[in-house]
Amino acid sequence: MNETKDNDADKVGLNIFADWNAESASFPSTWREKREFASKVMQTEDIQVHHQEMQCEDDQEKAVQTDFEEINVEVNTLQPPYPPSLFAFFTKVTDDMCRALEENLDPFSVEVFKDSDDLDVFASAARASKEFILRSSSVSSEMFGASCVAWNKIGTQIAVAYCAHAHTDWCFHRAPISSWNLRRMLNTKNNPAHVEIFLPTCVTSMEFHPFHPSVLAVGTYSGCLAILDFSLVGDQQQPTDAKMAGKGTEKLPFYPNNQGSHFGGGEQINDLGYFMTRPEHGLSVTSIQWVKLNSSQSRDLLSRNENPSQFCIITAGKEGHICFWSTNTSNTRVFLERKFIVWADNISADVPLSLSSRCVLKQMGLVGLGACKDDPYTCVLSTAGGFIFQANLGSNIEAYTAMVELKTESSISEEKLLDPGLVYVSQHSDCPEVIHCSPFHRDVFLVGNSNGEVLIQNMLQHGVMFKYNARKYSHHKTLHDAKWSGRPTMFGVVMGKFVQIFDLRKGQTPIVIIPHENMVTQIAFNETEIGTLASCDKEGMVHVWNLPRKYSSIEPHELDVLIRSENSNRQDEQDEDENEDDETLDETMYQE
Amino acid sequence: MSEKEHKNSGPRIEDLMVVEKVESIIDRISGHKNVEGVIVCDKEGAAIQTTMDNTNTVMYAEGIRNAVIMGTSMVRDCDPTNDLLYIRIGSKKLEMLAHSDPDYLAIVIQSRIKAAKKEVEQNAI
Repeated sequence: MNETKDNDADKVGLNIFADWNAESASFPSTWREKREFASKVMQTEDIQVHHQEMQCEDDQEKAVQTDFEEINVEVNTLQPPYPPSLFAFFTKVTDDMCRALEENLDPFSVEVFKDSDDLDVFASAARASKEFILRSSSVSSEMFGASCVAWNKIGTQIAVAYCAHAHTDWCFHRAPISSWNLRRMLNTKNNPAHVEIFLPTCVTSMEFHPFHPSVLAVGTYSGCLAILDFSLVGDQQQPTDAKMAGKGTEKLPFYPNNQGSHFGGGEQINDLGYFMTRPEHGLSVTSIQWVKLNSSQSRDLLSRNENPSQFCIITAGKEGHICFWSTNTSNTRVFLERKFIVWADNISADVPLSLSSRCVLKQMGLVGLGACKDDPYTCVLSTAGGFIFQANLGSNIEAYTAMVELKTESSISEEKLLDPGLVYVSQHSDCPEVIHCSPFHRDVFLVGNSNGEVLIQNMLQHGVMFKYNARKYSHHKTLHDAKWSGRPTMFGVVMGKFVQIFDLRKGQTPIVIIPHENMVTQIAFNETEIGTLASCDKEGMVHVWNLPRKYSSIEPHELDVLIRSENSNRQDEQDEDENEDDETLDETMYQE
Repeated sequence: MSEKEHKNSGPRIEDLMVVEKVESIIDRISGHKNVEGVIVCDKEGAAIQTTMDNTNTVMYAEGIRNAVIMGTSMVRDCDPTNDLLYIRIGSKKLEMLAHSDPDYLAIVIQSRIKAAKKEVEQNAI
């Protein structure tokens, strides 16, 4: 055993120390002998390459053009078969969609939305184009707003009066009456007034002379009547006295001349362009109208004026007095010819006046007055209680009871107060803010109630010829003004910020609606250019509008509408009377 | 069978049935009173079926799609778990109903009830 081991050890030792020529252990070398490349791609299925070209069937070259050209766009509709997902989509939504469509057919569902009729009127009504914007630079819109606007009879001059927004007591404001000559306007906006006359009190009503284009009669807040003549002032008249132009509260002296009025205004006689009477009306003058007399009427009505003009002035005061003034031919003086009082005792007992009016406050306040076109004796009055009366200014009956009641310590008037011979016409549910006689028909007049109702009535007939509701087409609920236009069947109504023009032949919807930015206070139609009207707002702006051409001329037989309505009303009344007679006859026969 | 395979093969009976059903649904919707048109758009906004003329179709599809996108983003901004279902736009003359889906958009144009209301009143008289 040991010899074997020794032999083995010897072999190993011999191997270790063997000659280098002995063969080495053979195992493969890990060094790469040559370079090899092997590429492998992750691929699950065959790769397919498709080349597709976008090819249009039709090419169109279109140049850049400015004119409108309709472009036909082709809608790519899927040719059947539709994908199943589309059917699934429809299955999901169809029921909801049909339910919504059917909901819209429910007539009660319209309560959710506003009545589209109201909006359609605004869309379908014609629009007026604005020609000018006028504003006096002498007044502040914070204190004053435009209260009255008037055109002169030849349609070239427009006058605007300003009134303070609020009065706490007697009016000491000084505001101008501004006038523009439209034939000399340079711009559409920012036109300073050509003539301005400052009065010592606010103006509540005014009207141009029927013949002299520069003479203006004005009723004031303090109850005075003033006559202005713009031709005496001159263009761009600046007040020479700074106090006259200011907004101060200094009191100007009145001129208690019992023999009428004279040129006033302090030291500058005639230069200020106006004269003012003493306050014959205890409260503000609500209406002022010029009337024309013939020679016989002048003899009957005028007694104080030695050289009377054929044109006279009627004023109505809020306290219930009606004054009839005469002027001289040069319009430099006025005379108070007659003074009437609306007194409850002089009104027929059939008229349903309130108990307080009959027993306590017998004096009835006047809101509006309209002078008849061809009859200066006749006018219509509206009272604050909603009554419409026809008055006869030719009456010579003295209101004796009124005189006894009014002769108190505070009474300063020595004039005889007359009873105007009131005839009851109608009673309205709301205060008749405006009353205006038709310039084409002597008996027809319109009444604008403060709740937006406009009624066309005839003085000689009961009932209403036409009735309109302007409140339906305006968000505002108060009527401020209503006037006949230069056409027999067309009239304008002011409701809030909208001026609505109606035509008696066109139904209940307005034919023109004119929106404004501010509340409108009054409108005035140009009698010469029928399609032109002016509106003034509470911010003191005056807008001159042109109506669409089709409304700017009188159409033939337009007046027949009023005549036909009058006849039909008369026929209806006759029928009613006959029916009443028949009933009375039947009752009588029955009793017998 | 995938939609791709549908294109490769011709119309089958099942496809024709789908066509008939879809068109009957569109007719049913169009048959409602005062419906002026029905437009179906894909998710890209392209009209794939319409009962109106091309000009109006493109106009309404584009407009409603913009409104739907705006409505969808608004609803998701308020509540990410919520999603827009349909949108109704009422104008003075028309009412537009649009039902939204990830893949399609269905638009119905209906004129306002005024005509229908008058008809109801006339029938009542």
